[in-house]
Amino acid sequence: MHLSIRTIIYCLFFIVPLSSCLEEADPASESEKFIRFFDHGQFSSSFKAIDIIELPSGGYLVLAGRAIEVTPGQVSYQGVYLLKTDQYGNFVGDLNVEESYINALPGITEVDGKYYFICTSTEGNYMAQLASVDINLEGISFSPLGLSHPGAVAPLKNINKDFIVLSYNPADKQSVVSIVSTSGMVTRSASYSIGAGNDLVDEKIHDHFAGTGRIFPFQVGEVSPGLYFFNGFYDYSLSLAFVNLNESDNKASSVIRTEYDDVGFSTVVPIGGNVFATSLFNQGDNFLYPRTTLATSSGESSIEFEGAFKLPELAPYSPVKILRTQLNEKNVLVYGSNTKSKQIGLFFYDETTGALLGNRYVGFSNPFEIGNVIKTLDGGLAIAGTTYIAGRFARVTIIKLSKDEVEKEVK
Amino acid sequence: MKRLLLIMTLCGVVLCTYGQKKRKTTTYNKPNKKQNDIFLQKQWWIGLKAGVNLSDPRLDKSYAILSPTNYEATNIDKEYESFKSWGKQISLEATFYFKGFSASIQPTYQHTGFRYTNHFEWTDGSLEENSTNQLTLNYNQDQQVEHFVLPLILKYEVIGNKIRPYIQVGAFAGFLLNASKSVEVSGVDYASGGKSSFKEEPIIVGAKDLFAKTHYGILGGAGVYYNLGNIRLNLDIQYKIGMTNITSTKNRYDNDRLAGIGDAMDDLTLDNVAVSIGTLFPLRFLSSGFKSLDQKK
Repeated sequence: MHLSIRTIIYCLFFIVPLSSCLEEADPASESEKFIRFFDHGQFSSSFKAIDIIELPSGGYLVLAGRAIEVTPGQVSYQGVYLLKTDQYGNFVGDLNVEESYINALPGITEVDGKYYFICTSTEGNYMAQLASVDINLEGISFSPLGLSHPGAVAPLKNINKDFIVLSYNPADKQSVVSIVSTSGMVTRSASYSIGAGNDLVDEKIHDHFAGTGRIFPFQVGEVSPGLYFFNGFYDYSLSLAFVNLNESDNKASSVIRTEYDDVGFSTVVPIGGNVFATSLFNQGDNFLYPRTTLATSSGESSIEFEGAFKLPELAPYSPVKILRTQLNEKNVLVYGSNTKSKQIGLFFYDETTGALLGNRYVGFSNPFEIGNVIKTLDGGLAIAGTTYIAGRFARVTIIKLSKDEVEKEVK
Repeated sequence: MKRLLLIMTLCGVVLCTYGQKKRKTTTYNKPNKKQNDIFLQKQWWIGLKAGVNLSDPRLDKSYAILSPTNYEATNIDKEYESFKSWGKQISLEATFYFKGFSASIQPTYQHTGFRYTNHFEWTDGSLEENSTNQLTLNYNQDQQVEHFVLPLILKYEVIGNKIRPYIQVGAFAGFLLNASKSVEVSGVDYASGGKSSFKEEPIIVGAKDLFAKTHYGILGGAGVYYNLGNIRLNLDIQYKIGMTNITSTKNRYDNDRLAGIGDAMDDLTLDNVAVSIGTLFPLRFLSSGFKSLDQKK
């Protein structure tokens, strides 16, 4: 009998510690890592993620486009769609913005509790509208900016929390860079010629906005206070121009020329001084250039590919997103783009040296396309994108990577 | 599996050796009824049993990758099948008997299966209204899980001599050995100009990471011994009630192929009913002429 009791005691000692290894749902970890496809039951509906921002509560707000069928079977516009989730990625609510507002631009920004983004109205000549909405997706309002064909927007780091907007003036065939306040006032503006009599480029720009042609990687931003850049059409080519908005002769302070629209920059992110993280394209080939020096102050130069990494796995003319962040106590550049195998590729580079630290491909079984990638408050990454459920239904997806799994990529 | 059988065999050898070590050299086989009665109040039994089982997954918390924006999430909830997928188990049993009660430890290799289905539908209206814009998809998901289960069981032999029914209660711990998932997608597509039913090749993936490494629960059951000479034939029925989650909360979204098609495992406990047959051998006084069963009844 002594043996039996001893056996039981041994077994109890053996079993009790096992309880510490048991799988218990942990609400904190459930917000650290998840995948969500936001499905709509309508067969003909289509949604494409454009941008994502994390809410103070830990949830997410996704800015997306939705297909608007003007005539049956023909999608004519990309309407505006907003989707809100909680911190676990569960659907909370959405907003189908009225159909007279279309073509939302990436760059949704929070200012004083309101969420701002740029879109255009269908009336007139793709006139830019500054839209704002509250955290509950209520009270959306639009301020006309008086700018046509807006191609890119970025928040400025000035005290007024203004925006810088790149637009196109088809009447004068000029790229226009403007500073816009949150109230919708254009406080400064400067125009730069795309080239006299350049009807071909004018047509391509129109097709870009109509959604019937190639989507150009228009971009605008701030290098340092008073020095701005835009990636747009300038002097007959898709160029990277540095401007201060004080030029009187419609000429950029400095420009990096490309070859028409066959070669150019797909993304530009200032790191400091004349150093930039960029990505480039050349006839559909994609190059990542995590650390390059660009002439920002004077003269003209040509685009350089020496030192850039060619990534043949990326889809031709794929959009590239660059996130500057800190991971594992390192300054890291996270490049995100679409692969030929219909996944989203993430490439981690050391910002200081430009060396590759790691890469990761997300999305499988169905096609995936990137919208944007952001760093989250918990130290992980959130990727907003588009997936094609059952290979055909374009729907918004959020892929949340935990801090641990992201930091594994940059060891 | 081979490694597990080797471990179980070694356990058996060790237990046998231990039982033999404790054997004393007194001659109880003499026809001394009183001594035999005292002796027969205790016995060690060891043996092997095997059988089949059916499982019933019980949902604790549902998880989904698809998050509907314009229809109820319940429309795409998983539907679990109860007690429909056959599994199998093989156990080594070591039981100490004392005055009608037994304490038993039964290291078991247990293979279980369970299934669930999902149904998805996209349409622009009813089939009559819009015959071309409709797609339905049905996902049949089959899980095959292997555990090393370590139950500790108390039995009470109710009555009888040659045929001895018993009841049993206990607790168990399960250790994950392996797991796989098979997802079969079928559906009906009306969008290609007519009704087209299709069935895709199943996606089969290793899914060990999707299941919890350990789980535990309680069990109850009944059975019957048939004493045949010095050995016992055993028919045993156990109902295991899982008390903890069998899926991995950390790795829920880690399988890219499954996540890509929108599958995430729910938090589940697993009930299981197992029927086994086996043979038990006494470890005390295996000499000719001795009957290990209770002779006074």
